[in-house]
Amino acid sequence: MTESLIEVRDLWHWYLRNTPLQTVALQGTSFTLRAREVVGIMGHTGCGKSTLIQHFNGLLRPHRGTVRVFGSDLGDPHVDPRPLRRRVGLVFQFPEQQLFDPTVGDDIAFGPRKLGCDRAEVRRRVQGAMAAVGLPFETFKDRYTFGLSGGEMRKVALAGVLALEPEVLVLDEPTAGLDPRARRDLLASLRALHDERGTALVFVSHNMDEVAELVTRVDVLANGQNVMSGPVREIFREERRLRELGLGVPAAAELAGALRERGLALRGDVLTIDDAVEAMWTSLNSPAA
Amino acid sequence: MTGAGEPLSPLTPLIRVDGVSVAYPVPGGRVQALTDVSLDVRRGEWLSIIGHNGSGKSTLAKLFNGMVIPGRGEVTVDGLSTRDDEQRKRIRQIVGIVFQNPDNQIVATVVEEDVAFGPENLGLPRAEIASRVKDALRRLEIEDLRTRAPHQLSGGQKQRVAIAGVLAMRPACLVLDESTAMLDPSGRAEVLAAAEALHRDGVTIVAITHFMSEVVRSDRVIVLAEGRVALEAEPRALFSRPERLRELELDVPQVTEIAARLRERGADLGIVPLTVAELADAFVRLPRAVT
Repeated sequence: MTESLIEVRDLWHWYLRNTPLQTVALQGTSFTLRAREVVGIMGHTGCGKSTLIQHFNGLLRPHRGTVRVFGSDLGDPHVDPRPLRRRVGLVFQFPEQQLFDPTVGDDIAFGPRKLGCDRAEVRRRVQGAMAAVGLPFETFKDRYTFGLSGGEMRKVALAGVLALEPEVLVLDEPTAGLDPRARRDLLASLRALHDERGTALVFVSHNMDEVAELVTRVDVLANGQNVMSGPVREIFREERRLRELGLGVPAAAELAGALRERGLALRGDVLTIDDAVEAMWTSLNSPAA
Repeated sequence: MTGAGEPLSPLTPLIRVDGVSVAYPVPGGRVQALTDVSLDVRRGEWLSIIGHNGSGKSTLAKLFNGMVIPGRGEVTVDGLSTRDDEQRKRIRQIVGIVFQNPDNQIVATVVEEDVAFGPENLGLPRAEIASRVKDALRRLEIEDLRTRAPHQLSGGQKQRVAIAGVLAMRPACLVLDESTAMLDPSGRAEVLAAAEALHRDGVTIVAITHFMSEVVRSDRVIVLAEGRVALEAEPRALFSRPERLRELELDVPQVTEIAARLRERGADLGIVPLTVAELADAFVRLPRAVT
């Protein structure tokens, strides 16, 4: 059995707890991340995704249930979550709002400096992180962060977390607002982090195409509960269920559905552009049924 | 001069951007956000503006209602210059903007109060405010959320509240600056359906987006690159040139891409499909292998 990096069992969380405005965010949610896995979390806005991931490095503590991260029990108030934050990097929505250093290079270097890296190591990490998000080092290192476009700020914020070289990287809607090229670059660099360094990824996204492309397993949440869970190909077979949950399927899967409705027999699951082209080409060249 | 409220000839563009340059300061100089941009927004059209991050899209959006004043050149809205301080309030009634993050745009603690915020600041009579709020809530189909607190709403609902707030100003033009970027698929669909309904009622829509699937529904597309207008075309013409779009760091919709890849293999659909239905219909008409 593979070791779990993150193990969440029957997690409950309330906002404004013990006040008249108390609302429940998580009601018995479970989640597992094993070494080297790439897992997607999907769900409509307000389903509890962001609340869940804030438990992964101890920003939130469980109100009920258990959260174990690298073996530490975060339900125990005596456990200091800070060492975990080097190992589990969280990239929030709108991470650009958390930039605080005047220049790009300093902002990205903040984490490695806090870790006590020497100058050469800081520089190596900053360069590596900037390359990973597609920001040319020489052009951007001295730029003012506030003079950047929204998409550029997003990349700087991401690079700041990548420079910590965490073992688990949790990203909440990382590509929202990025241009198509930047999306592709970011997905490619996430895949490279996973393939080359073995970084485990948790990818929270509304973008069905990207989920289909990047992850191998998906958890779907609704109202703070697990409603679907399984390999990505199985999840995207349930188009109607996903639509009921405010989600959808990748464009390629939608196309396959439309072709099947028109009487074509397509083979296999169609999730990506590659799948669609192959399935359609095969159907063209097989004898009519 | 005529009263600001009277529209000019319908042939005059609603917004005219004429030789505009904008720069922001950076260490050791300035970064040019827009360089010598000239374009028109036509009355009643749905115009999409696309371009890579940093291409100047948001700066352009902010020019449209005087949030940014050009360093060089001029922007006129319904004939009014955004440079004219006296006219800026009027301009903001004509052109309303909804941004990416709904949480930054909602000011009140109850939905209907938020929607009333704009008209109240115009100093309108109470009855007029009430009727505008009612109308805006009805048109965005959020009457049932009237007394709810914004923080209890979904992303799509919050964006529709933000649009209702703009609509209560009775704008001629709604600018959506990546207003669907943070939404889940159903939230995006809600906002797009609302924009389509407003467009049918004659509101000019300017949509800034990275979703090529949203671009397909527009009348016209302007592509910005490095702060300049790089291309202007109808969606189908634009997406028939995937190589050019890739040079501009953009993409074609997935269905267009699939059709292009099939054509490379020798299966030519004869059209540049923009939607799933168009591609599926064209594909089933292709001749099959016979044995």
